[in-house]
Amino acid sequence: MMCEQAEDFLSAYLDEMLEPDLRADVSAHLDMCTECRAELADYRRFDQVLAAAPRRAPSDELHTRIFESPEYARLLRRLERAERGRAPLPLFLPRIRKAPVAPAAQQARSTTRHQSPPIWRSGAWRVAAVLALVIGSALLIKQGLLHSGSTTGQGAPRTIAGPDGSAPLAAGPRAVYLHDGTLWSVLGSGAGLAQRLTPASVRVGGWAGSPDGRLVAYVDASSGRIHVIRSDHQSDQSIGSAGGLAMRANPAWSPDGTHIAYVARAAGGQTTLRLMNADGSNDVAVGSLAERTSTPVWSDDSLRLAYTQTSAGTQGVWSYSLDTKRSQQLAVQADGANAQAVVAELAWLPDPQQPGVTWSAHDGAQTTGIFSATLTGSGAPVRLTASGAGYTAAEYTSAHGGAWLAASASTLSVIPATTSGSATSITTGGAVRQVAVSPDGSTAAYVTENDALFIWSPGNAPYQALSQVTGAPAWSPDSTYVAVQANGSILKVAIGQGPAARVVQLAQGTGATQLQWSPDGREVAIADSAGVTLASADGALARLVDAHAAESPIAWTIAG
Amino acid sequence: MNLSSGAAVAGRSLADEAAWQSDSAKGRALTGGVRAAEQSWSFERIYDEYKTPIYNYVYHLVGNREQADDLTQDTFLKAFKALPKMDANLKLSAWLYRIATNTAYDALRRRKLIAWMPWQDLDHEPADVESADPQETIGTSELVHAALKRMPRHYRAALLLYTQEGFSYAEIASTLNIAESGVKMYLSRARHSFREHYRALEQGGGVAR
Repeated sequence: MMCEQAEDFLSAYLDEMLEPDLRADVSAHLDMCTECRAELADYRRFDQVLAAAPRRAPSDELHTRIFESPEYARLLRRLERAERGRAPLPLFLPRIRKAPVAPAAQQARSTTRHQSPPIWRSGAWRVAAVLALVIGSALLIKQGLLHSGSTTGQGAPRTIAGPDGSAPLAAGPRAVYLHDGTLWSVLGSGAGLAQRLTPASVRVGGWAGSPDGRLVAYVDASSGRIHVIRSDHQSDQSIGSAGGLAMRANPAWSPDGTHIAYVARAAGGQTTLRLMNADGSNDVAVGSLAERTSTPVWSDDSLRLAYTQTSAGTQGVWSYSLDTKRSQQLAVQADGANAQAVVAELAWLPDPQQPGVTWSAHDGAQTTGIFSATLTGSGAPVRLTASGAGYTAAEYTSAHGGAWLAASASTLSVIPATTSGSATSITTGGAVRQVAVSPDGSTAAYVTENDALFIWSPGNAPYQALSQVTGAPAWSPDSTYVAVQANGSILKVAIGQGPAARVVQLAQGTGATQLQWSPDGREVAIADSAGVTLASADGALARLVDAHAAESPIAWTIAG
Repeated sequence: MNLSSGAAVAGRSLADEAAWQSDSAKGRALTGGVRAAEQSWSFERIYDEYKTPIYNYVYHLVGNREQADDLTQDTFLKAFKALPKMDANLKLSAWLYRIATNTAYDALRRRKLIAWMPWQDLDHEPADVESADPQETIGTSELVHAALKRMPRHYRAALLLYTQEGFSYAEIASTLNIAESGVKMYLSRARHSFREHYRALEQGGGVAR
C-alpha cells in the first residue's frame, strides 16, 4: 500500500472502522512509514484537542427569547386545545402551568397514540427495525429464550425487554449495563433476557455497583438526584442530589460499602466532589470548585480519595482524607513537562503505612509519563519514567508492592510504582498496543501492533498465544484464562500451558467493545454494536440477551 | 476485586472526567429515545438539557455568536412544534442535532456561502474568541475556532459531531442524512482538512485577533 492510499484510510483506521484485511494492510504500511504514523498521531491529538475545547454556552437571554416568544405562546395554545380533544393528541406534552397532566390522562393519551399508525412518520428504517425485532423475538421464542410475559406489549418495539413489575429479579450473578437511560440486568445463567433494573420514571446518567454487588447507585439525569437500588430491582431510594440536570459522572462506592463519593454540579457551572454515607446522610463537599472533576478513586482502606480537578486548562491531582477531613494537592499538573497531558489511570499505592498515589499521564497520542506522590513526602510528584520517553500502553497492578507495565516500541517494562525498586524490561514480539495484567499480578497479556496476543510472566520468555487479535484481552477472575476477540470469534485461552494452550470458542462475532467475566468465572458478557451476548465460559452456549448496544461498561452484580 | 464498578476499571479517571465534560447533552448515553408513555417531557427541561451542546454545535458551524443565538432559538422552536407529532421511539438527541444542522445550513445558504463562496472568505470576519472560561488559554481555543472556520461545512459538522458530541458513525449518518460509508469519507477529509489548517495557523498562518 502506498501513502496516498493509506492516507485515505487513516481516519477509519483510528476509529477501528476498517475491515480486518484492510486494517492489516494499513497497519503494515504504518509500520514502515514515518509520515503516515505522524499523521495518525496528529489525528489522535486533534481529536483530543477538539474534545477538550471549551463549550460555548448561550446567553441567559436566549431562554426569554424562546419561552416568551409569540411563537411559543401559539404553540402552547395549540397544545392546550389538543389536550381538550379538539386536535390530535401529542406524545410529548409540555408542562403547561395551569393544567398539570394527570398520570392516568397521560396513559390514556399514550394508548390512543399507539393505536394510531405512527410508524410511517419516521421512515422506512423504523419499519425495518420493528420487523427485525419482531422476527428476532419470534426466533427467540422458538428457542425458548423469551419468557412468556416478558414483552412490554402495547405495540412498543422493545419486545426483548423483561418485565418491569415489582417482583424481585431472579437471584444470582447478573450483568448490568446502560442503554436508553435505563439500567438493564440479565441473569448470568439460565435462559432469561435483559430486564429493566431501574424504574421507568428515571433516566440514568452515571452509575456504579456496590463493592459486594448487592446495590447499584445511580444518578437520575432528569432530576439530578442520586438513587440506590438493590440489584434485584427492589427498594429504589432517592438518597441525595447531585445538584442539577444531566449528571453523567459515575458515583464511587468506598471499598467497605459505607460511603459514596460523587461529582456534583456547583454554582456558576463549576463542579465539586461530594461525599456522603451510603444512606444519603452527612452529605458534604470535600473538594474545591473546578471546571471539571473526575470520579474519585478510593484507597483500599476506605479512608482516602484521589481525584483530579481541572481549572484554567490545567489538571491537578488531589487527595482527601476522611480522617482529617482535609484535601491536599499532590500535583499541579498531570505531567509537569507536558501541559497537554491528562491523567489516564490513577491508583493508590498498596502500602497503607505510607499512603500515596500513582498515575499515568496521556496526551491523546501516547502515555507521556508515570508518576507517584506520597502524602507525607516533600510534596513534589516523582517521575518514574525517563523524561521525554513515550509509551504506547501502560497498566497498573497493585501486586508486587505496586507496579506499572509500560510498553514502548518493542520493549515492555515493569516499573515499580515506588522509587525504591528498579525497572526490568523484556523484548516483545512487536510494538505493544494493549496490555492487561492478571488480577493476581502474576502474568501479563499483551497485544502487539501486528495483532498478536502474547503471554508473559516474569522469569519466563513471552510466548505468542494467538494471532489476528482485535480489542483488549480480558482476564478471568482467577487469572487462569484470557478472553479475547480474534479472527471473527471470542476465544478463551488457557494460561500457563505454553504456546500449545487450549483455545475454546465462546461466541462468534466481530467488533466486540467489551468482554467482562462474571465474578464466578462462569460467564463472559460480550458487548458489541448488535447488543449484549452472554457466553458460558465452557463454550457450550452463547445467547443474545439484548438487541440494544450497551452504552456503558458492563458490570456484574449479585441479586438475592 | 471491585466486581461491579460502573467504570470499566476503578481509577480510569480520564474516561470519567471525559464523561463529565460531556455531561450536558452529548455522548452516546444521551442518544436514547424518550418514551412519552413513561414520562412527560417539559419543553423547558429539554431546553435546559440541550441548550449548551446545541448552541456550541451551531456556533462552530456558523462561526459567530449572534447568529448562533438566532439559530439556536429557531432550532428549539422548530423542535417544540414538531415534537408532539413524533414517534415515541424518537432518538431525541440525534433528532435535535439534525434540526440544528439543517437550520444552520439554511442560514449559510441564505448567506450565499454554499457552492460559490468558499468558507475561507469569512476569515475577514472578526474572529469570535470569547471563551466560556476567561482564564482558558486563548491560543488553542482560537486556533481550533479558526481551523474549523476554514473547513468545508459538511466536514466540519461531521468532525464536531464525532469529537465533541460523541456521536457514532451511524448517528452521524442519521443526523447528516448520509450513508455510513459517507461518514467514513467525511471524517477522513475532515481530519485531513483540520490538520492542514490547524498546522498552518500554528505556524503563523494568521489568526484574526
